Amino acid sequence: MVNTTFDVSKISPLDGMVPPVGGVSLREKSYVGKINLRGNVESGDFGHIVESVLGGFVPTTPNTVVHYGDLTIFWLGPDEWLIHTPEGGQGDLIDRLRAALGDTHSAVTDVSDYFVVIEMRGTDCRDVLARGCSLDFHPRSFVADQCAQSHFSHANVLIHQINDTDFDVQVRWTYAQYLWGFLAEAVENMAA
Amino acid sequence: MSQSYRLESGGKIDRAKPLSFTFNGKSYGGYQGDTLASALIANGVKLVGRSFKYHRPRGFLSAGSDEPNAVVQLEEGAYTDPNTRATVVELYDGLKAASQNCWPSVNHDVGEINSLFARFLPAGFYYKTFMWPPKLWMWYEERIRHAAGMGVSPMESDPDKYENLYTHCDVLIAGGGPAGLAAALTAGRTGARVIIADEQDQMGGALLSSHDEIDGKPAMVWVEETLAELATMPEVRILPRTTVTGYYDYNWLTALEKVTDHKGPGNGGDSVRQRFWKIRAKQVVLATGAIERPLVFAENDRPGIMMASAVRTYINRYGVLPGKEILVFANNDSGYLTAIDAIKAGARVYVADVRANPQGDLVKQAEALGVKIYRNTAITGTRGRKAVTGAEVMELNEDGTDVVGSHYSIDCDIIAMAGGWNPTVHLFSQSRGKLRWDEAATMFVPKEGVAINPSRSVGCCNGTMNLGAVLAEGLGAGVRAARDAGFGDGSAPEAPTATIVAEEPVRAMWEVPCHGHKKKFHEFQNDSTSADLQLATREGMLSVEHTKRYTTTGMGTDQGKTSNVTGLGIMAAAQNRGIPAVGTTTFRPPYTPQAFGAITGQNRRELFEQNRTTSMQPWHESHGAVFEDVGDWKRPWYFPKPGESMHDAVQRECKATRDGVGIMDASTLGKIDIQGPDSLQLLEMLYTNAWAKLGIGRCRYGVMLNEHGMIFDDGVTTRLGENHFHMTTTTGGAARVMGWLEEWLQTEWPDMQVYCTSVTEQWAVATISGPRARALLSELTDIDLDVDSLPFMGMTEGNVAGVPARVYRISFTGEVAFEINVPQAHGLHLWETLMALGEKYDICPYGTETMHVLRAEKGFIIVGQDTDGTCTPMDVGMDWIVSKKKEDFLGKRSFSRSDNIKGNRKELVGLLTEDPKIVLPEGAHIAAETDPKPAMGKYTKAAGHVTSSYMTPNITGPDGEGRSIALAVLRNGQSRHGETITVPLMDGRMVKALVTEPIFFDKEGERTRG
Amino acid sequence: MLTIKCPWCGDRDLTEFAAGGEGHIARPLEPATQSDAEWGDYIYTRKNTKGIHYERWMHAQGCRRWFNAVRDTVSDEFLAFYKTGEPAPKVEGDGS
Ligand SMILES: [Zn+2]
Repeated sequence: MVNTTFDVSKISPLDGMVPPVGGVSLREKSYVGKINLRGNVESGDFGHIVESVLGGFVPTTPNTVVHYGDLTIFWLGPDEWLIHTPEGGQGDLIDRLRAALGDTHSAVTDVSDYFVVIEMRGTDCRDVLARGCSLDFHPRSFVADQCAQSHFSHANVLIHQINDTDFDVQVRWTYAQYLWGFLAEAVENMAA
Repeated sequence: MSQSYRLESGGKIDRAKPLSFTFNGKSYGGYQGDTLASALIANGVKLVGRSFKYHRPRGFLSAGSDEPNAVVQLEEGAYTDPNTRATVVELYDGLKAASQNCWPSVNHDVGEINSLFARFLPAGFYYKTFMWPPKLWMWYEERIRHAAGMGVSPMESDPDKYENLYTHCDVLIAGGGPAGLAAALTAGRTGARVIIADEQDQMGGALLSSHDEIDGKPAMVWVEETLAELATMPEVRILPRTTVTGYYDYNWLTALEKVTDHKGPGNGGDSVRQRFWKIRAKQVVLATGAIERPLVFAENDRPGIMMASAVRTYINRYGVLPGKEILVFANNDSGYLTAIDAIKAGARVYVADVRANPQGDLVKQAEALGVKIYRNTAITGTRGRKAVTGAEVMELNEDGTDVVGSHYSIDCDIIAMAGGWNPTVHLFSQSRGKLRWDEAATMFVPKEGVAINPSRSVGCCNGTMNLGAVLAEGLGAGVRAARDAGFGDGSAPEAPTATIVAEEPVRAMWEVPCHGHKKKFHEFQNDSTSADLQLATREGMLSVEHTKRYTTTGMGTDQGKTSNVTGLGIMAAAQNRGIPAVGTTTFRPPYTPQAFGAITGQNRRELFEQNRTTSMQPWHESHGAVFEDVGDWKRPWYFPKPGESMHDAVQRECKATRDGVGIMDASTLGKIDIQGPDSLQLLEMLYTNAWAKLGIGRCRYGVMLNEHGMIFDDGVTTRLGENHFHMTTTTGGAARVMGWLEEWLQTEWPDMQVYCTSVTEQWAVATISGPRARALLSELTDIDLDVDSLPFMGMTEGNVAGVPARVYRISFTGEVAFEINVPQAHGLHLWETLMALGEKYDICPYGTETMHVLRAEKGFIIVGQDTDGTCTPMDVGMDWIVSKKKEDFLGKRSFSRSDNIKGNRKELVGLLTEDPKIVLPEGAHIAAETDPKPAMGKYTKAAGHVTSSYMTPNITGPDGEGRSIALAVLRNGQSRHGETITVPLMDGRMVKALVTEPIFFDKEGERTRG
Repeated sequence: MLTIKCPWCGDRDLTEFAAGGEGHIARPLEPATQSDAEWGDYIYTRKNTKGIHYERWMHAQGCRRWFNAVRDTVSDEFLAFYKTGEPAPKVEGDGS
């Protein structure tokens, strides 16, 4: 038997990063549970089984986001979604999804630590994003609860518009420091 | 000399804000609103530089970005900027500039001696003289470049910040003159997103330099009103000091905004100095104006010989009268505008006009003001060494091919050339638009664009020179562009009335005749003369692209903005064909020079590239790890103790791992989660070996081949459940393999029920290896680690260090090893716990170098190091991994292709050098023949090369100490074990080595399975 | 820079995509029965068309879906985009 009790700690790649001073605030959204979900909503039971677990249908319009209770579900592809859960909630939801899906062809994968989410808050978010991402974030082209996978300079990102002004940017763990640095410099350049 | 050429009043300068600056060390005064050029001219400075080849004295030619001559070195130290055109540098207090391309000074230039030898420096001189012998070319080139010297690059790091910025718009308008502003106005009114960019500090374009009227009021009133209305439109963005530099496919354009350049170095605060825009526009309106062209007459390059429009700009915009006695040399009416403005400003003015009998409105106006006009007259020579002091003129013969009669001398300190206009079609041409030669107007104008780059050219860049028509075109193009972008109905308002002058036609005269052999420059920066072009033709250069390179025409920093069309005219005459037959050179981005700093933008220093690191990185950093770049990753290479060399550290790490326990961060391995009923079927296709019998909780090594049958990745895949697998890939191959799986599943096998999800970063991995690894791990977990419960190539789940983990018994070292996977956020916790509890086991952290040595001892390949995309599994001695039973897997069919079975293939072998202390360099070639008395040069053929080579303490040489080992690929190597081969080294040594099977340690694998 | 229309995500910059070369090349169902020449054709021979080209793209930095496009290799104009598995549309000027 192992006698030691371990003082378990968690870290994030953004621990200790200094937030920039300027018109947009940056903050890490800590330890969101994240699940990658794959399945075919066009035939078979997958869509309805998942609906019964999540409390609603997965988004089928490309690059959109839906919210059911404390879950946020992102369209990633025609058969691929990302589910955000509250911290630590991913394990239980994965179990429930797998149990409900049974033999229905699908994939449920814990990716909670694969990604890091950076919250951008402030009226100049679009201008900050424009310094590294070529997507059109003009209000005529990009609206709340729209999301897009693209690249911000060299980093793959999932950009989610929260409301009229604010955005969340999700990035792979190992690109988080790079992305933070880029965003912070953009904020500071704009403030100058 | 204090601004003695400055007019009492007038100009758009702020006389309440005097500025001081230095040029070539001397102090001068100017005003806010000046350019460096206008301020120098105001101070009577005419000589600013030397030409490229002959080092001839040169002054200001233009007043804009087309300037070829007045190219200066701006500022000093880290801020220094070479090849800056004085005509576009906005003056600021304290500015420092110096002439370049001259030594020791602009007034006494040693290189001017080239001028005396000018007849020995014809077109193609450098090519003809310095290309032989080839060995000396490098020597020549260095000297030529020194003599030519186009300014000096800064030697320090650029202290300024730059940024890239993406944007989208419905209508992008390049150029803020009357046409561009009119287009912005009507496009903006529709609510479309409009960007209007202009290279100058304020909008207005040519109107800033003119006395034109719109609706009976000064044109600048219309400009102000238009800008005021545009300012009320939230979707319109006005970008002054912004040059649209590039026009790429699908209406993707680049623009360079000079944000703080005009404030001077260090005065920009924290702002970026320049911003590089990347603009995607639904529609483009090109309103880029026109550039006046010179007349190619004898001795037309002396300081004081300028473009007529530039003289006008200096008078009207900057309140500077460049000369007291101005001779305008014209082939069209626009020169008379200069004559009129100059005489009104107080100069004595003459016009020499090559046209037989010009009688247009402007001619008459000028004459009425007292301008002396010489009709049917050519300038046949000029005087003055460092500035022009006079000209000789003669009458032209009937067809303009020669001059006749006696010459007549005119004293003047400025000659203003009005040689006609070239529409600025650069951006249109970049967009792959085709040009049309308008013979009557003697200009290239846009003909038709391409569908993927919808644009409209308006105003002067479209060949429309009359202001009223320019405005009408702009207004119409604006609404139609907006309509095509989905805004408004495309109906344009009526154009305002504007100054109308009835102009008489231009008389094309590409080369102005004279008597005798005098230089007539058509390209000022590179000293290309009409004679050079004619020589090129005589020597057989018919293609304009050949001639351009042979004579360096249009290859200066101005890219031939002034010289291209006159050059074509001269070539056409020399070749006896029309200008359209000669064609044009291709215009390429950028329109004006742009600094690398601006293009680089934020992508520099720590943002130059992403450094991927694992969650264990904080420990590595705080324990002195030396890092190695592996793809984008920074991986610990080795962990030196104080005073240790890399060799010492690696030898220690290698020994400690074999003797006790070593620990490595293996988080970077690619990981793919595979789920679905057809997962097994997918694996059978991807890998060469059989997978059906792999039990749940068991791991298997596999190699992946491309369809050519060559190894492209390898790794261990574990069966987590009936239809659930965990695949690992090489660190560098993670994305490639993920893409490979998706490609086959989506495009070839869409009915296969499998989903693949990358989980590379989900899992942090610490690998512990060595005889004491099990004992250490047992202190962290309740998992039964007994060899029967968790055998080699087994996997189990449980808590390790209090964290849910997957433990894989996979070994890349040949020792008992455990790959402990925990969620990434717990990676550091796992590592630190292992290090703390491992202390009593003398745990040794090791990096990638030790990993490489240990696996080489075991003969495990590293894909991409020991293989290179031409290696089959059989080539690397892995016949055992190729299933003979499977009917198909990717790459299988290629094994039997004739090329792959013809024999004599390079095969993986081990090498043991005769001298155990010699570590062969990786990449060293193995000689094809073994001559006992080899001579250098004998070994022209290689039989293979060394792929991996290390010193190891774990294999002992004859002296009982560690020795070197190597892996290599060798022709027919598998049948050459026991032979001695020779590896010639760069230093001349011939190293003998014994060919062995590629495994050096624990050949039976007993340690691994323990 | 090319604008490419992903059938799911719409117009995106070229930098988000990976080019997959000529489209509609099916892997032989029974490679073992292929002659060397047939197999060589499959792995090596491509049309390298000047003009209308049917080709594959993958939205690598977006939804990661493969799809097909028809592009005029001279003008770089895209004439059609369609999903993997859908038949190739006939386009004007296609001489093949
Ligand atoms: Zn997509």
